[in-house]
Amino acid sequence: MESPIAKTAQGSAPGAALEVLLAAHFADQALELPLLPTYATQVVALCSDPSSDARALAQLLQRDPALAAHVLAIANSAALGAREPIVSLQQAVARMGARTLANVALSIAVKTKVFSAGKHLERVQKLWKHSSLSAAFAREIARSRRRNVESAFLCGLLHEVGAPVVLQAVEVIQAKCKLEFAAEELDLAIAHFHTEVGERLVRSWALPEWTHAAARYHHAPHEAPAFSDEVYTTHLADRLALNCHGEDELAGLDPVLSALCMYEEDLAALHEQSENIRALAEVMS
Amino acid sequence: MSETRTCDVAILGSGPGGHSAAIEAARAGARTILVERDSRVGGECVHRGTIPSKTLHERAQALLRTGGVKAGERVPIDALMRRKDEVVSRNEELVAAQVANSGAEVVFGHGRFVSAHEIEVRAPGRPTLNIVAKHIVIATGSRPRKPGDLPIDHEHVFDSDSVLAMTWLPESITVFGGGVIASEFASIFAALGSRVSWIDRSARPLGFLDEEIVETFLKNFRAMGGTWCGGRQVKQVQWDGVSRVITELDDGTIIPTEQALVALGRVANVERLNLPAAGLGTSARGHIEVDATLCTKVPGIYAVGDVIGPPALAASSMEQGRRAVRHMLGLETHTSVDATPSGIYALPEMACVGIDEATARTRFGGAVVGVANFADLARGRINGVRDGKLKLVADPLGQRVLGAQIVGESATELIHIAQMALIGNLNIDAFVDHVFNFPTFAEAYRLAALEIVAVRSKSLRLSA
Repeated sequence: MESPIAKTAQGSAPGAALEVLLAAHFADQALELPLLPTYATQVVALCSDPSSDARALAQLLQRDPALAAHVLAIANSAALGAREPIVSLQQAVARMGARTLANVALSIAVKTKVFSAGKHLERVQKLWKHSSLSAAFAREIARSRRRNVESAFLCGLLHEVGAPVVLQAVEVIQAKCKLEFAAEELDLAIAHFHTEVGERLVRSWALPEWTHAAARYHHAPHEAPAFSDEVYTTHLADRLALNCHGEDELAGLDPVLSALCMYEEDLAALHEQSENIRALAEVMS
Repeated sequence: MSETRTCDVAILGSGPGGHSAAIEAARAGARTILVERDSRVGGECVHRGTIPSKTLHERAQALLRTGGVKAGERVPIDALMRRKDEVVSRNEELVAAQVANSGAEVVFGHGRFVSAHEIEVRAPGRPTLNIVAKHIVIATGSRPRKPGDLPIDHEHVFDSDSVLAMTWLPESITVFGGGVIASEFASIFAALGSRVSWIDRSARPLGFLDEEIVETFLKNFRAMGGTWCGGRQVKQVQWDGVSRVITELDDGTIIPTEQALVALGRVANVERLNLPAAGLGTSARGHIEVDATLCTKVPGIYAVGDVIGPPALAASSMEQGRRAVRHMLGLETHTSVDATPSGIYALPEMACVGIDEATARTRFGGAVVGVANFADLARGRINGVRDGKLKLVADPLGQRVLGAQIVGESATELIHIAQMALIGNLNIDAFVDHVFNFPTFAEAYRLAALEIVAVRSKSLRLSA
């Protein structure tokens, strides 16, 4: 049976319809962050193999935003009895220990919904690769500025975390309402919702505060009310990652460089590392 | 596109030396432009050096006063860091207000020499500004040294800048270095409950300090669970890819810790200044050489603070900035007595001024020394201080004050009494003949002086 909201939406333009449906969906549904099937399989394989190296799982954690977010959320939960807020992946690994981490990761892989939006799988895979590359750039930006590398990395890794949640929701709506949406509509929907949804997700999972700001303001860093440094770092990392794929010509970066107190030579130094950063991110993924 | 401006005094860098120079120049009526590369004034001192590390020191000391970190307890580092950020922010506002009130103008951007009297300032998105100045002060400070054999990545292995941005407190940390910064962080981390392994090539840390003072400090460090590995060479340091930084020493010892901190000195920020355009270079140690008036070999160009090398203390830099400006403007500069104290904001604090016992014996063929233990002071007992001592060094006759060394609570404040005694050329008896407040830590001076007087009296009786 079609919901009243779906009926209302059917009377509107397709773009507006999707927007209304998504708004309704996010208003009364808990946010779900599905795992990518390939990563879920890898986690299960790694954690089930007693001879596997703890380093492999630690590396997987660093390139899968969904797994990272789930692990951090569990590390901060009362169940694990954390005596301090867990704010970085390294801290989570150190505090849990390799065995607990493997158990937690296995539990996440088995219990968490696997991304079912088959049509959009490729898109999410691309997003995850972009997040991984953004995280690598954010790490280098922070390193060059002698700021906190781990928080920059985490912000880069999680900044797009809202996008797959939106895509998953679209898939649910499509199935429920028997609707089809054009690729442009999906682009608009992601553009419209992913920052707000991303922020809501990381906030509701009690992930570090700076990830809330990065998820929400990475496209508009000047609007960030707090954690300006982390947000500007994420913004620059996001754009450098897009630049690697020829999707951003890095125009209008002056205010960003100013905010980060970076100069042309600092940006040039990062550019010089681009290929290495990209190659490393690709090898890891 | 560019703009050219002229002024009397241009200053590169707004740390302690730079902002002090700017205020002095502007107050003297000179048209002054202060150029800052960062987006905020204050330099390393305010943002990543003295102020933030001392704020952490205060919080750690407050913890110790209430009994220290209990077993299994974790210190909420986020609250410590928030407090640090608040203090840094307030200090930045203070410096900015002082500079603004003096009438000096602040320009944000990267300044480099075009010639001996011209600086080019570039900033993203702004036209280049050329500043033509009669006098120029270089006060661009320093940054942590990055030794080639230690893999500082600011992620697992930090330097003394990046460690101040940490968001979680390691359960264990290795500290490399035997100087002031290493001592401060090693003891602060130990007080916060981290298991600290502290490694250096020297047999004991702080080689410039009195041995007895350092031993008392080390005793306290060990009591907090710290391990001092002196006289050791580091063979290899590497991240294990999971959760540990593995340090291997030359004797085969393996030390795994969650993080590591490298504090092995600092290097002057001079590479991006284009010094040759001004006719300047650097010494073999990378410093800018100056004469007694802080003027470089190029007339009109002065250098102050960390760029000229030791003592590289915030207080010295401020005074150098002031003196450089007074000299260039032809204003009177009083000759100061060489009695600059050194303060080490470790836990416990240490401080010294003048010369120590060993130096006095070498230089004068003897010394009379009085020692007061803080545990013997009423104030020490009230504050629950177990350790702490003051050494007062007098000449071989037990008359003139030559120096003082202190370890214990408030050492960095107490040392100024000895500094004033040195400046005023006071006799040891001044500490005995005049009344101190009671109960205070300053009473330690009186106890130490009484000991010197007793030795002196005994010597006189024997010689009679």
